[in-house]
Amino acid sequence: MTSCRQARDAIIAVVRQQATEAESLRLEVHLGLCASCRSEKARWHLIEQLRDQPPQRLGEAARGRVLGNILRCSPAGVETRERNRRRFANPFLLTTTAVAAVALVLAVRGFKHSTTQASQAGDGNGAVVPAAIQPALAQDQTDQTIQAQAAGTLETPGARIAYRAGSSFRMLEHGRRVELYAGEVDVEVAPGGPGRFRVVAPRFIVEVIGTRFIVRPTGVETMHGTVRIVDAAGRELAMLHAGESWSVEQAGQLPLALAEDGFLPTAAPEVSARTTSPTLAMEDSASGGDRRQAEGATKQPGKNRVDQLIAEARSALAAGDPELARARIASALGARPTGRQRAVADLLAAASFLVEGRYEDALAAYRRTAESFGRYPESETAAFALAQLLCERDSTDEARAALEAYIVRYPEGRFVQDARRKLASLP
Amino acid sequence: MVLHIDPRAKSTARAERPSWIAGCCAGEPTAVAAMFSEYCETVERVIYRLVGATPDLEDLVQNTFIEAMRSIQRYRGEASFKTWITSIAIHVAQHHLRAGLLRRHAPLDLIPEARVASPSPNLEVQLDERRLSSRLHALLDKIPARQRIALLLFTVDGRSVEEVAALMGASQTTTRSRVFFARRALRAKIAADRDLAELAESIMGCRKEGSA
Repeated sequence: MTSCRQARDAIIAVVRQQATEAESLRLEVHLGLCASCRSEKARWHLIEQLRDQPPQRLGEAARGRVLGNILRCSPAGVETRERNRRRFANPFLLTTTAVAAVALVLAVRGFKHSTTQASQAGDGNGAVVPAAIQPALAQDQTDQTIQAQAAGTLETPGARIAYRAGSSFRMLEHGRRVELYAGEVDVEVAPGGPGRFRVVAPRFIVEVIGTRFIVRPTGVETMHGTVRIVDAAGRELAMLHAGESWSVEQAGQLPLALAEDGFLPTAAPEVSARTTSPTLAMEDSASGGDRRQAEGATKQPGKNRVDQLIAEARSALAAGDPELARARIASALGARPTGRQRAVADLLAAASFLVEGRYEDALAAYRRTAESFGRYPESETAAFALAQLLCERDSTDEARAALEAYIVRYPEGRFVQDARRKLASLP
Repeated sequence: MVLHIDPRAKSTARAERPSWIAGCCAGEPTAVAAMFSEYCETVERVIYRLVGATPDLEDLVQNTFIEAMRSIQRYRGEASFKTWITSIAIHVAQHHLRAGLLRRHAPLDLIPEARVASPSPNLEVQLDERRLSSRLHALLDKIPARQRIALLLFTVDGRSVEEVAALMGASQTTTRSRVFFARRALRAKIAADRDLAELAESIMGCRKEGSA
């Protein structure tokens, strides 16, 4: 007589397709008598589904990309990169670095309180970095514009940024947002950091979904993982997977995502350096074109007035003037807009509050847009932006509800994968 | 120059390593490409088995081969190259699972080609099967990575305890206990999941109707 324990071992042997005929026969006899083992067999039968599923395969293009990346990595290069990756991914080291950085920030803040800030005033809002910055200094460099005279690296909790000589960028939001003005940054982002990591280039924004990518003012190259490129209004321009690249020319005319002057330090050497840089010359001529286009638009009142006002609001927002943006939005709303135009205007208004750090107002505006304009794409964008902002504000319950509502409402939506991932990562 | 790899070359491997390994050590593109085309499918299969459908498949396959290239100098030929690269793929998958990097939505270009090219008449069953598979993987996600990998290699792949232990670099006793605890945990999770039971019944019902 077969016991239940023996029967369960036999069930596993059957699932593994390694049961002898005698074992199978004994099991069948036992299953005829034992309901508990029958349900046990039904459960393990499910596991067989995993074996029967055809495996996921890479397409030819993906294989080509992978092979290309492997061939690009010489054995020595691979070793160095992997060592760096491991060091970076070491949770203990990350924790230690984070603790050290926090301690340093506290110490520096204490020092700032006890002394005058004359030296800081001399810097304006920029910091000229003579050489490679030590990782522990990263926290102290947040909210300051860095003018790198030599190549170097920065490490913040959750990201490692390597930059070329001559790069100019600013780190914001505790190192989760980088505004790139010139040069090139190679960003490696560890998963699970607080909030989404973004690099804002003059004409586009890169949102990190994967791990490593290179950004220039004129384009992006993804080394590992996936990044999404959006414009200043949050519209998706491209989704880049490992090995793919994108350039700003592919998107045609784009509104400014970053004010060309507003954030830059006014120190003369940096300004002259900008005008001699070929990359920046291209950037300047492009933004000049944008200005001309905007000026041209204001001289054509016969065109759709509302669209024109919305475009002006968007430009004002990109230039860092949310009040002017809202004034233009109010004018647009008073000029008999269509439903779609109202949705766009509301979304812009929400973004203007976000720029000002008025999170409650931004949340209310996103909520209103999501609820009032259900048939327009702006409603979907607002619904996801609302959830994302709630996540970033650590409002876990509300964020969960918003993400679930988004997934239910837009099961095939543009952000549904992100929403599911965010939902899974909520505590 | 085109190099051909004989996967059965393990018997002579220890005495003299196949020439393409030397080529890979030297970073010769033809040798690396030959190695990649020979073992890519094996690596894909192992990663799919352990991680399930994931948009990170490309990254995982790439990481496996990069790791293999990095370590190929240390390949002594004691096991076949396939076993060796399988163990690397297992470690890459384990790292991926432990780091909690799971995303369960495969991009369209990663859906198995056979399914896209020739959809069977019983599409409902296929969709249910896919849902069932993703749900099972969701349950497996709740099991510690090492236990999960040991269970899948032992139960689904049908490998012996000795093989699983060798591939995971663990003792046989440890492997047995990992399989035991994983079985216990998975059994409890399956029993508690009513949707899964309904889905299974639906699939079984459809299959019976189809065969009748």
